[in-house]
Amino acid sequence: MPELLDSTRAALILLVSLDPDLWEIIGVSFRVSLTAMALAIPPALLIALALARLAFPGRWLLISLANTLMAVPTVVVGLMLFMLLSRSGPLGEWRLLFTQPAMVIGQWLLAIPLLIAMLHAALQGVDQRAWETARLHGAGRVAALWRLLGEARFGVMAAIVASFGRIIAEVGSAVMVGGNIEHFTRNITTAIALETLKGEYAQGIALGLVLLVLALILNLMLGILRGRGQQTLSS
Amino acid sequence: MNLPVTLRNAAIILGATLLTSPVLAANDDIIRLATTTSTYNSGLLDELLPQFEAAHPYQVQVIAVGTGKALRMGQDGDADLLMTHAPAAGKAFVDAGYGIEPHGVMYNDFVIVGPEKDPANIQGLDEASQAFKQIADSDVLFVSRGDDSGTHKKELALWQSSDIEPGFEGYRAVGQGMGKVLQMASELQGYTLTDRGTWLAMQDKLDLSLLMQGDSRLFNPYQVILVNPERYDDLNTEGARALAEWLISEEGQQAIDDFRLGGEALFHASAGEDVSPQQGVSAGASQ
Amino acid sequence: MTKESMLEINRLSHGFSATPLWTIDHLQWSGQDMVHLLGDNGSGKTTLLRILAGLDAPRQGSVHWHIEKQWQLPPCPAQVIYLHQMPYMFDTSVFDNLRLAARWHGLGRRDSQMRVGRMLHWCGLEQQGRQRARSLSGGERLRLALARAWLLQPRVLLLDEPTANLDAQAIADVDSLVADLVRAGCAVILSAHHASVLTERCQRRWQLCDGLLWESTTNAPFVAERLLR
Repeated sequence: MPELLDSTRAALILLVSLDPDLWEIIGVSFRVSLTAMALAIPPALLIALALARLAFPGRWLLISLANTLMAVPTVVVGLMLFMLLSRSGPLGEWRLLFTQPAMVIGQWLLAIPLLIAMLHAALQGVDQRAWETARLHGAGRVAALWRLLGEARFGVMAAIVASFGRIIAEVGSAVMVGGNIEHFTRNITTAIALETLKGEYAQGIALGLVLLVLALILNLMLGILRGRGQQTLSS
Repeated sequence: MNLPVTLRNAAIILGATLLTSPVLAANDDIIRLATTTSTYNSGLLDELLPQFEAAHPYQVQVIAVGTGKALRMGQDGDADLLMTHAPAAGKAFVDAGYGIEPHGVMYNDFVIVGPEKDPANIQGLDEASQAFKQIADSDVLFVSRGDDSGTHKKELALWQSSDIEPGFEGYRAVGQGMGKVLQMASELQGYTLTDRGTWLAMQDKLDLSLLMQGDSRLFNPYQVILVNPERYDDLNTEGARALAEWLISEEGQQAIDDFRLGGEALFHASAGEDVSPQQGVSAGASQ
Repeated sequence: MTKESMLEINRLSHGFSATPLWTIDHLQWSGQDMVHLLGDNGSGKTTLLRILAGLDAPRQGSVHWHIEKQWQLPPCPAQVIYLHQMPYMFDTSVFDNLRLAARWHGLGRRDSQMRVGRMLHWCGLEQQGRQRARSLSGGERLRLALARAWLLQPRVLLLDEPTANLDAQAIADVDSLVADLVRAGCAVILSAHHASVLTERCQRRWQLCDGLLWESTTNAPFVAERLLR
């Protein structure tokens, strides 16, 4: 037990003293995951809107696909991407393996299905009358879609928060295509997974605390959003 | 069956499992051997341990980790016997009272591998430190284990003997095992230091060439250390000692020398020879 | 198609082809008379109104609106507006519900402010401007929905069971608003189960019965005039 206490104390000191190595790792995590989110939200929104509003052939298939891909383990995504980006793979020429862009792509692939499924569910949950009312009151298609997003804003926020939570906490793809290279692609989860092998636990605990606090904040946000969503439903 | 009963049954089973598991963990038949990945990945242990187990009433559980982690596990009482290849760290471990009865067992050697085109021009050099210097001075990548393993310690010692601070432009510390590091070096077309065993096992799948070998500084002594039984009372010290003694016995030493990977001898039995922290890199540097 | 009529229906039917919900062979409406649409539950009143609004496509036949001197097929946004039985309140404030409609209508900032203010005053919700629209009572919601529609100055309002679940006072409030609309020249068709001050106001009755639409004028003894079939 004193071991655990010592490590935890050392972890807190690392965090509070703004240890540059530690915060660099945290920075990599946030840079990669936020970039992946920024690149994933627009296409996911478009697809989710199309799924919610348009009846096109293959729509059902696309929804099932998104729901299935949501359950794919992150290492499987990492493996597929690794094979694509490897020197001997079809995209080897891009020389992206073991770089941050490769990690962004991996997390993008992980975020997209979750975003689509959750955004679709959120938009699907909006009353059909919202669309009809907007259209009959002179809203163009784009304006009406925009209104739908406004009506579904709590669900949309929940989708974004949940997806961000998933990708910043994933380790499988980040370690396979990122490689945990110090100062380059070492992020919170790969550092926890691999640096503790050195027997140095303080950094791992510190990084774990960061993820824990982040998860807490994200869940509080979700809880607040959900609470407000229910409030409007019941009234 | 109603739910409360199910829950109660589950609780009983869980409780029973929790109560009996420490007994299982202290099973006298099991020896927990924390060892470096190189001995495990090369297949050496798969060759040796069945021979040992056939003649002794023990079963060996191998935990393949880096030397740093192995020493840590010994310190924490999570292993009975350690097999490591970082003499200095091993000596410190024994001096601190964490371990007892260190014995040299064997040595293997490291090699430097890199892209076939060899942009740093290290092929044909005699001295590992010179090779490292040229790698650092060239515009190429060097992939480092960066995991406190014996290989990593060896690499750091080599940088030191070359008067180079690791962390130069092309230095990539990845904190991963040897196989992964070789794979990354291949993908990135960089250089790396590897034990010969892992290299032989993996070279077919890699786009790399063996560029340097044979410098005495690249030799790599292995030793076994018993975890100090005075620190933990649930260790299987008897079993661990039996395994250690078998490894340095004539029979064990012969088995080590007989081991072949791809037709090549990997490990050289060296029980009884003096293993000191000065051996290997430091000895070479002082010449 | 006749010039003076506002609505023309030809050979319109809906439902399954073997057993159509209803069939309307031909119907003209000038828009001058306010219409009360009656019919039993399940007779297809809502469906008819939705088809007139262009929210559903009929299985067969055609609907034409004569608006702005042109014959148009529904939907005619901002000109023919349908209010659901429970009008949809956007999940924003009362004020923003009106402002959204003004923006979609393409009103500039100042025009929009002015007209939203006038409409709030007209429907008597000035005090509740900042309140969430979904926290309003049923009567207030309907008033806001009428104001939101009237902000666009549509030619036709289709009201689906506006008085269902409203108490007498709320119905009276709504009635006075509808009276304003009619006075301003807005044509109105409303469906209603129960008689009320609002249905009293209608000069014409359309009754869906046995899959056919029967028309009569009110204040005369109820003599059903069968529409052409």
